[in-house]
Amino acid sequence: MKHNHFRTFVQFIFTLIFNSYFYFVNTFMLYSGSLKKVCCPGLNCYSCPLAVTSCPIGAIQAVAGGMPHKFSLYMFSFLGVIGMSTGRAVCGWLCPFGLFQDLIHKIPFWKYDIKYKFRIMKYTKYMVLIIFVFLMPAFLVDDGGYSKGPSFCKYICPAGTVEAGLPLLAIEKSLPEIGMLFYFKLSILILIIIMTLMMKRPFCRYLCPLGAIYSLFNRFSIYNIKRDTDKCINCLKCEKVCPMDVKLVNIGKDTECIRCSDCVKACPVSALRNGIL
Amino acid sequence: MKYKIFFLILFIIGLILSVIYSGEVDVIYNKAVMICYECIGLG
Repeated sequence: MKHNHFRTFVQFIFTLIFNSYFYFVNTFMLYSGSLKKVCCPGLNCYSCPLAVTSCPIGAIQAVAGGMPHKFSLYMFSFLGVIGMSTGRAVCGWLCPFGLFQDLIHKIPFWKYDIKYKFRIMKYTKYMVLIIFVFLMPAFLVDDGGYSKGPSFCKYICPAGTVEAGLPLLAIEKSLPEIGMLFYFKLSILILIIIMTLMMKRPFCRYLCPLGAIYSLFNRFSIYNIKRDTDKCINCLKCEKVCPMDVKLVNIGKDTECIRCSDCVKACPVSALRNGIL
Repeated sequence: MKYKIFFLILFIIGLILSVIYSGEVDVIYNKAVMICYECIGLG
């Protein structure tokens, strides 16, 4: 399959834009300008030394644990605007952790043909979203009545480990002692890296709460992949190249489609196109 | 197809109103400008 270099280029550019605070090497302080009031549309840890924006999942948890109304209207609207506009295109084109997985998958390793297996596991990410992002930060409190913190970031997020935990360990001298929690999170990261070596985008398929939110908009988004059924010859080349195992009949409405456009490129009769409305 | 535009406009209005009135932006900002050690498993 011919690789979509343009998409990789766009992913690199956006990763660089969201992580462009190189002044950190002089100050060893996180960026604290106004851009931190805005969220990156993809999964990008705000404790990353280079981050110039906030993480949407971290932001939802911060509001759940820090405000009386628990449910973030700001993030609901922000993700709603992006979801209604592009669906999961953010996962395919903008997310720094998506790029990380795409690059890891290029490493030569035994590839497991997961095509259409374990589809039921895709619902795990909705469980992660409800339990770790909404419920635990909102209702798990200490003796003083304060939230016990962002549970997804604390117990699961591999993006936080790779973008913030490991770099800070490497450069910061005054860190708290590494405990079991860090080794637990490191194990999750290693497990996801091993899975990513074998299959495409396992974190996006099974665990990402941000992907779970965007997937709810996939069927209704303004930007979508369109299929011309008159032109389509049912060769199924689109199914073969799809990183998320979307079936031909579901193109344009599947919750897993990340709008990477690999199917559009692979179609020999131009029956698929990127469409608006 | 008009409903897509309608919902997009609703979300945009919601975004503007929530930025102005909800007070969430400051909570998120205050969290995002400090290294969250517990977030990255070091706390």
